[in-house]
Amino acid sequence: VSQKETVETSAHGEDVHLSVRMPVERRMSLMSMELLAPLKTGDNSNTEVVSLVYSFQPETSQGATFHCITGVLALGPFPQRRLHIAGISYEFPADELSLINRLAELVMHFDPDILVGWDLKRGSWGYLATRAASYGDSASPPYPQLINSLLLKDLISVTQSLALLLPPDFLQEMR
Amino acid sequence: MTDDFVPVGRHVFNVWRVMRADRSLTSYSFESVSFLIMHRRWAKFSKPLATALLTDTWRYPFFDRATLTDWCRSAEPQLLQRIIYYLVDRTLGSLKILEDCEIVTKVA
Repeated sequence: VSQKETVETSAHGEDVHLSVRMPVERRMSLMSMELLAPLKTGDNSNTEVVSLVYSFQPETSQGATFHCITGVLALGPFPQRRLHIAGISYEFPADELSLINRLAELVMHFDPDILVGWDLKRGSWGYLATRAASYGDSASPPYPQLINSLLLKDLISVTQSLALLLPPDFLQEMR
Repeated sequence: MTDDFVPVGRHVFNVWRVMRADRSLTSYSFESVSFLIMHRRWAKFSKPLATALLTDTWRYPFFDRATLTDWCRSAEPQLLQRIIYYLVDRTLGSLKILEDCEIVTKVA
């Protein structure tokens, strides 16, 4: 919904402001995310993410109001029985890695066209990607690529790996 | 509009950069932009004041990272709830700013 203002001059020579609400169809979906990584004494650049909030705004048809699907992912210190705001889903992953995996899962589920964050590098997707990359050394799957590969818009990688798994003559038959 | 983070097949909006390209403002802090766009005044509080005001039921969306860290360490349910409120406000606020500025629906 957008606000358009036109200015016309009335018969008496004064400006008349006409405000008209113009609903606009938005064909792209957005997903916004903000996170909290508490500071630590010493190294403040890259600390563990303890909670994040995501919000998915689906495509709108004409005249729809501002509507979002919002959820919270929170770790350890956040009490699981207290924090409830109506209309927001709460999840409590076991550790930071499962929090990152869960968010990547949610991005795949909602499949937004645009990822949104106020300050990407310090408080949003960019920070989380850095955190995901920090798991690259210890964990066996290549986690630096985790965020990027799981955030794929279309399922190219899935179809490709499927083609590798299936016997070649099966694909011949399919054609 | 992207800072090192480039996922395949999706657009990424770094909202304060988007706003800097779209509007010429004196400050590009979240509070300042959301006031100018949404006409919603969100105060910045210093740490002692923020803690003093906690008895109130009002929501204070801006706190710096040090304050939030203190709250997180204190592990008081009320303060942890504030953190969630803060994050929810910022998340929805970014989307609302984009909506109000018609960044996505704008036809160039």
